[in-house]
Amino acid sequence: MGTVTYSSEQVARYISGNFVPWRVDYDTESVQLRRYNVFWTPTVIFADGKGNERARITGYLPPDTFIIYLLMGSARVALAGHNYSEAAELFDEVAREFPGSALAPEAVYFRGIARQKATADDGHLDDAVADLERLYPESEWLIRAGPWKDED
Amino acid sequence: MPEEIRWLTDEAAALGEASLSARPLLVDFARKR
Repeated sequence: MGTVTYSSEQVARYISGNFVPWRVDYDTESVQLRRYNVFWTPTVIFADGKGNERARITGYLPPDTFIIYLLMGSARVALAGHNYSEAAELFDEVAREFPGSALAPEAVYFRGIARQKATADDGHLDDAVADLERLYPESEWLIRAGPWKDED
Repeated sequence: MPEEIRWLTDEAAALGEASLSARPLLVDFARKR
């Protein structure tokens, strides 16, 4: 991700406060390269505390975009770890703070899932569909949420 | 002074700190410059 993105104060603060940063040399054949099947650089992997991959980024991103991906990475780790309330808050942060981001529709979709899983209230899925219809009617994530409309 | 990321380069150390701190891992595959 290079010197530009990681030297950003905001990016560095978020990573230091929310992750354990682990750097693997791409040019040295290693167990990690094979385990994570990394074939290009930069590649950033979000993994749970045991090293299980939950999300990844391939390709360079500037700091203002990378910070959104960091939030989404945190959210995906929380969701996969069944920490639904935490995941819902993180997806909500992306949806509210970065509504113009390419990741916002995905965040709305998964916010609905995380809230439903946290509360067992299907109304959160209805809310997600309504938000996607209102804010991102052309989004693929609205198509993915299509079956939710039929669950009354 | 701007905050710098303290990268770990050893897997055991990274997993150990993740366990202690209850934080997830951010694994950066980078080329040496």
